[in-house]
Amino acid sequence: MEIVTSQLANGVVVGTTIALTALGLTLIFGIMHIVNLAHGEFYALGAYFTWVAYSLLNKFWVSAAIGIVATAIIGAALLMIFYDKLKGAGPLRWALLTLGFGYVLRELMQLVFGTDFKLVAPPLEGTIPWAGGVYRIAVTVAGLLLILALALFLKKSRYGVLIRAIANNRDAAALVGVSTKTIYTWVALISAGLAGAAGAFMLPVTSAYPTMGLEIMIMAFVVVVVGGMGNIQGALIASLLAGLAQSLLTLIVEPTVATIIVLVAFMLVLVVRREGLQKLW
Amino acid sequence: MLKVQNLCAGYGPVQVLWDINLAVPARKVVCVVGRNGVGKSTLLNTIAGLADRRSGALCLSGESITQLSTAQRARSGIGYVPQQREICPDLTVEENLLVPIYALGLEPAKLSAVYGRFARLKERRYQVAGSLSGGERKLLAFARVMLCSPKIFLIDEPTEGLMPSAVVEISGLIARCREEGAAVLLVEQNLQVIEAVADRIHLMNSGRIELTLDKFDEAQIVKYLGV
Repeated sequence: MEIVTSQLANGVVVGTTIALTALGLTLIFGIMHIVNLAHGEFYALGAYFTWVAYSLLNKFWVSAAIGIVATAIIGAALLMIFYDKLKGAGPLRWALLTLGFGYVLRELMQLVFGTDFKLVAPPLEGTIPWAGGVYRIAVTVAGLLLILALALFLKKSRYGVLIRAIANNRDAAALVGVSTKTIYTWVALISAGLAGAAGAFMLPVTSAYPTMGLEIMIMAFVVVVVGGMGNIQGALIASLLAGLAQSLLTLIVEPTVATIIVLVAFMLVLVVRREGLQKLW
Repeated sequence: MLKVQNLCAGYGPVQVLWDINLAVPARKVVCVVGRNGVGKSTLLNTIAGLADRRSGALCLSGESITQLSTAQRARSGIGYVPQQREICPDLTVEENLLVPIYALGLEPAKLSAVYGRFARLKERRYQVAGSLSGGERKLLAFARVMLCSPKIFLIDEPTEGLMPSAVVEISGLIARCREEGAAVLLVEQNLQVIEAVADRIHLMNSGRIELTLDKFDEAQIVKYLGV
């Protein structure tokens, strides 16, 4: 029984990580209409930046904060440099551009850090009976707190209201003085920062390696589509479902097979319901 | 106040406006009248920065606004109430009003002033704006723009599809904007409203201003409206 509960706890950790990455993806699509195929690489950058900072400072949580901020700045800069040039371009052009970004970033990471796994010991030791490692629980709590903070920011803060106004009716917002460029910069920072946070938190769990971004990207993309493109609540629920299903399936099949089963199940959902599951929530 | 000089504009490859010249002085209501599809809304969209200008110049209070973005034009004093998609329907009434307050860094007390002026919006402050009636949506759109204290109001067919009581209310609002010192460029097809508020009337056809009237002439206007 304990193995099932500990896998459930693990599923929530995986689901939270997918959710953090997927929320950034859905946020940038819902507001800026950008299909960001480089988003997974921001997850990898978060892990690598945290590893570099940890190598210098030997303090994990400070290093994670540095990793998140650095990823947010670099990710947002990459998108905003091309924003003016591609103003009014459709999602396909953005998808092609960000596909190129992703490839370049992945190759650069491989060039700079090599292909070996970069390990960092978990900052919190020990396990809790029925629930698994303390660090994994701390990561889940931190991830869920970040998601809650994002929801509160969007609902209550000054910039949150402006972001929702732009997402809902860009012209009506601009007509009362809302600068789309400022708001898009905020959205790009938050989006890349969320992926960076997921990468930083998972560094002691999975370590950092060049293809880690590609792996989470596939799952994040599928949950975003299933949850409803641009739908934050949908992405969150689909992520947790994916994480739990993947972890529980590893009790009976190999992890790779578990991932394949989850992806196939989500694809079948899209075949049956083209709009995903968004109308269910 | 607003000067439009030799303006040509359109959407993508399609040119809609040809060589438009007009001026809207302070404390005046200038009406643009014409059949559907002659380019009236495109004219207002171009002044607000929502349509593609091909050539020509736009000046507000002597300053060029030709190269400014839509948001920068709003900050410079252009207040546009479009015919459709004029509010953020998924936000509440209050959030719609907070958008200009937050964007322009206005005093939050301005919200109370708006509620004092538009009691119906205060009653519905927590309601999602998309669920408002047509007249209430127009009032909300006006209130949002009024918060920006514009020098000129661009108003696109504000009375279309509204009940007679709402038409009277909107006409009163337009007259009040003029009394408070703003200029108004109004696209309208309702003859009673035009007669009540217009100081000058431009008659448009096929993307051009063909005739300008300095007083209400029903026969000419009806000819251009095609009714």
